[in-house]
Amino acid sequence: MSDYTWLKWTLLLGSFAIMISIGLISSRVNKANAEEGFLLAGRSLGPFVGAGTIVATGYSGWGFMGSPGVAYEYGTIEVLGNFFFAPAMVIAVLYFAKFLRRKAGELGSCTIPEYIAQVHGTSEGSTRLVKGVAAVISVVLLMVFMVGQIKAVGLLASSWLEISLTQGSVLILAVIILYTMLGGLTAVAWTDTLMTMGMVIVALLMMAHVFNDVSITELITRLNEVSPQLTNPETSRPYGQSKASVFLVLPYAFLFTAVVPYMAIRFLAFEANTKMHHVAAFVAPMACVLSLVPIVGLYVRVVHPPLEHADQAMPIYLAHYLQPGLAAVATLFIMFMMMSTATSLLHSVSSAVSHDLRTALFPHSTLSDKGVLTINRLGIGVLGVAGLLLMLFAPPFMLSWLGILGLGSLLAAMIGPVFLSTFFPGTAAGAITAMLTGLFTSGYLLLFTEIGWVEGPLSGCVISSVVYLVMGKLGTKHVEIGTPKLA
Amino acid sequence: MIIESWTLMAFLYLTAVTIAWPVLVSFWKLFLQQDKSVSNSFLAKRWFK
Repeated sequence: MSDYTWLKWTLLLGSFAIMISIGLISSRVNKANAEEGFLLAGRSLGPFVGAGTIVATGYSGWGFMGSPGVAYEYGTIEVLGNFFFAPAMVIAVLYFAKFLRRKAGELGSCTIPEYIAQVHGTSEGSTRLVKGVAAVISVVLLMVFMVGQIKAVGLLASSWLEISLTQGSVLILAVIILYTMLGGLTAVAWTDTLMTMGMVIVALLMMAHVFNDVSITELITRLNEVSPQLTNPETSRPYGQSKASVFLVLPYAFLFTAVVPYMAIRFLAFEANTKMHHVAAFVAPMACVLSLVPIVGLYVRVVHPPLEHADQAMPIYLAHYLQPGLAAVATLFIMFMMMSTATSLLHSVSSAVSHDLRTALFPHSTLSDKGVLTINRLGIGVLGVAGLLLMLFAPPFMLSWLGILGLGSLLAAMIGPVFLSTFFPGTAAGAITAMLTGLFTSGYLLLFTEIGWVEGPLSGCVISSVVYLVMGKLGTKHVEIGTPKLA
Repeated sequence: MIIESWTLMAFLYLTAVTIAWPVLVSFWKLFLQQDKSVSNSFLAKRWFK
């Protein structure tokens, strides 16, 4: 075993010990209010931890492994496209989070499906139905994305530690399950923040290395020599055919932050007196630094001989251009950022089953706090293992395609009941119809047409929103904020 | 254009706007809306007092 293999295992096991310790500490912090503590970190997030967890969850493995590959192939358009997640998060935090937090706080919602149900349900039956439909859609689509994330992080761990994919995935998943079971969203948020800080430092070190080697003007000149399309593209490929298509990533990323359950749940978890402009002031620099990472793909394009697969840009950079010790730390934090997304997905999928589906199916169950907490913890374990089995035996689709299919369709399904309902509350029938319309429209466009990654879900969002608003106008207004609904 | 790439120029402009935006909102709340949470914050205590 080489010195660097020892270093990698030491770094990895040391980090895992820290994460599990955080899980243990947060399990004690959450004791006061068991279920709300587990699902919503006891609504205790402040500006810094809140910002850290939003950024860690929003920047998945795509930003660090996939995006440099796209930048390698398509050039600077990817640097711009990937960057739009930063302003989108800032806008969502500044102009939406406050409304969602306040309304969900008044209703006592612990999850996004529960929030949808409480806003739209008029009777016990309709509340249970809306909650059940929202939970099932969340579980199916987030599970698809979670499988992709587990596979991506398993692949990275296996190549880094020179073990098999199955061993890598089992190792990572075991740690994720353990600290999430122990500490719930508190543990997830604290570990996310640590991971974000580490990745911010790594991204800055990478940029220092790249721009120490080639200046920005030299990088552009050498990219131009390869092809002028790499620096001044006439289209927004791979985002679309027109020059302006890349700007569609901004509304897409905004809706992703504001609507997708595993992102939006973080807005519900903020402490009541946390100021959102404080959160945004932390989110902006963190996200902007992480947006620099695709520049690595541009660097590899000009300094390395042509690659067979563009996806190899980041692994080649880590293996050949960074000092080995630094490359080991960089790989560790890239893996952690992927883990943070997988953890958030697991927490959301599990709470949709153990809380939402449970309360939709058995609204009058009289479980003790301890019993409810045990069910929530078991949900994490069972669904984590289910995700691993799906990954091992499901057909090997492209990881990014799986992610886009799952997320894009979820976005289109949830835009009405989560985003529009905050300002224009609709009806239970409207919420269910809009969720199904968005799901099938976006899914159909992504699976059976040549429409772009961003245009498909956004088209689904437009159609789903129209359905939600029209059915809301046709139905009766009923929502009384503060009226206790089904727990 | 300092950098001969419209995509990188857009990236740099928008990065500056993204970082400045929440700072400007905080200034707005501090000076025009007298938001105590800003004036009592960690940074405000060190930078503005």
